[in-house]
Amino acid sequence: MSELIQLVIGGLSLGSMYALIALGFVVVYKSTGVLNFAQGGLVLCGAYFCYALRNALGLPFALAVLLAVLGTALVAVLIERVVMRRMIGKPVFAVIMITWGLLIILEQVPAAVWGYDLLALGDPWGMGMAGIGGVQVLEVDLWTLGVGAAVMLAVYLFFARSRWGLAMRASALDQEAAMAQGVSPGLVFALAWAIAGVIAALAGVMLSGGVRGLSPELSLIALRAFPAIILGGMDSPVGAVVGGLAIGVAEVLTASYVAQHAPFLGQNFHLVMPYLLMTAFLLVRPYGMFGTKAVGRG
Amino acid sequence: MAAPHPQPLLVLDDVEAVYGGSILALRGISLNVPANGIVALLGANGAGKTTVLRSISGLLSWHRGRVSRGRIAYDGADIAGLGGAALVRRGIAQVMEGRRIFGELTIEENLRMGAFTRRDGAETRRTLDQVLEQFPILRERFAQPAGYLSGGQQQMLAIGRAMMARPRLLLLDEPSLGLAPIIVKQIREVIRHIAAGGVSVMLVEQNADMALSLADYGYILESGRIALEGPGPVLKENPMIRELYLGIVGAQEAEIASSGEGRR
Repeated sequence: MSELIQLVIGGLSLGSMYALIALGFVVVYKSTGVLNFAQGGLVLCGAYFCYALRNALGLPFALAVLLAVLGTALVAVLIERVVMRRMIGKPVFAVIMITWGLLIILEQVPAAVWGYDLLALGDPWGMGMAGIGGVQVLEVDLWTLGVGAAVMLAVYLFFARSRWGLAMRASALDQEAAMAQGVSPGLVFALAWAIAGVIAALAGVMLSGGVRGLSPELSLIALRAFPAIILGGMDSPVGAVVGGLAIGVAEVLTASYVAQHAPFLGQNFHLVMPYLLMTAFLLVRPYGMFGTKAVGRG
Repeated sequence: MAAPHPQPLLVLDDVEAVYGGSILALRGISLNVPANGIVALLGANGAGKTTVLRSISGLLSWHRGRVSRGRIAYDGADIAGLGGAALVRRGIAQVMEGRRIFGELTIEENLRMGAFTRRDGAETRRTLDQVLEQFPILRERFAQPAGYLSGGQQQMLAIGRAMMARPRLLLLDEPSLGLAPIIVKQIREVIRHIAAGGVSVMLVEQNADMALSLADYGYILESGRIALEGPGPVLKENPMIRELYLGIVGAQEAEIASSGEGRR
C-alpha cells in the first residue's frame, strides 16, 4: 500500500509538470489560435537559463529561477512579436511548421553550448527524501507538487479574477467584440505567450531538479505533455490539468508494474503509455475529456 | 450639405474606405452627429452602413480595411487611425451587429468587459447600478452565462455593456435585427432613454420605420454614398423611402440614387 502511495505521489508530481506544460499550450492556443509546438523548447530554455545563472554566475538558486522565468517569458514574447505576429492569417499548417522549427532551434542552442551530458541543475533538493506518515518520497517530488499546485492556482485566479484575465477570456470567445470594448489583440497575444513562457520555465526547472538532472532530452519529456492535451481537450485549461495528472500517474504506475509483472514488455514501456492513452482517446473522444467538440476556430 | 446642428460631436468629411486595399466600400461620406440627439443611417445590405460605423470605432483594421481619404473628427479632434482602446476611452462605444455578447461569460463579466478601459472603481460601480436599474433582467440573471439569455435580453446586455464605458457617442448596429415587434418597441424606448440622458446615438438600421421614428436626422446610404438625407419625420414622409424602406421593396435603386442626387 505504501508503495502505491509512493508511486502515486511520484506520478502526480511528474503529472503536475505535464499539466503546466499543457496549460501553457492551451493558453496560447485559446488566446491566439496557434498550436504551439515550441512549448517544449520554452521548457528547455527555462531550465538551461536557470542552470547557466546558477553555475556560470553562481547566483543563489531562488534568484536563478526567478531570472530564468523572466528570461523565458521574454523569449516567448519575442517569438510572438518577431515571428508569430507575422503569421496571423497564414495557413494553419505553415504556423505549425514555424513553431516546430522554433522547437528545434530552442533544442539545439543549449545542446550546442552545453552538449548532451546530464548536468546537475544546482538545486537544493538533490537525493533528499522526506517521510510522510511512514511513506518515503523524494523531496523534489514534494516541491514539484507544491510548485505545480501554486502555479495552477495562480493561473486560475488570474483568469477568474483579474481584469486582463477576463479580457483574455473574452478575446478568446470573440476577438472583434473584445476589441470593441478597448482590448488590444496585440497585448492579449503577448500576454498569452508571456504566461506560457513563465509556466514552461518553472516546469523546466522542476523537471530537471533533484535526481532527474538536466539534458536536452528534457524536450522529450515536454513532448509527453501533448498526450495530456489530447486527453484533456485542446481548448480546456481544466482538461490540461486533469490530462497531465492522469498521464503522469499512468506513466509512473506503468513503469513500476511492468518491471514487476510484465518484464517482457521491456524497460521503457512506460514512455509509450502516454501515447497509447492518447491514441485510444483520439479514437473514442477526439475532442478530449473537457474539450469543445469542434476545436477548429474557423 | 447643411449641418443639422451648429456644433456636431462627430463629423465625417468626404470619407472614403477600402477593404483589402482595393474594394471601395465608402465613396465620399459626409455626415454629422450632433452633440445631443439621434442620427439614423439607413440603407440596403452592402450599402456601407456597417463600414461607416467601423471607420468611426476603429474596427476597420480588423477587417483589413482602412480610411483612404477624408477626415473623421470627434469632439474637434481627428480620430482616424486611433486604436479601439483610445476611442473607447474618449467616449465612443459600439454595439455590433448580431449583439456579439460573450456567451460563455456571465452577465456580470460581460458588463465588466464594457468598462474595460475604465480605472475609476467607484464611478464604474455607479454606472453598473444605473445599467442594472435600466435593465432589471440583467440584475436578475447577473451570475448566469450570457448565452442563456433570449435574443432580446442579449440585445439589452449588448447595449448595457456599451453603456458601461460611459460613452458620449453610442454607435448601434441593427439593434432590432431578428427581434419580435414587442422587443423592438422596448429597444426603441431604451434608445430614447439613452439619448435623453445626453448621449449622442448613431443608429444603423434596416428597420426604417423604427429608426426614423426615433431619429432627429437621417441619412440614406446607397452603394457607399449618401443618396438622401433630412430630418427624421421628413424622410419618413418621403414617397421614395415609403416605397423602398417602409412598404414593398421595389427594384428602383437607380431611381432613388438619382432622386438623391437631385436633392443635393
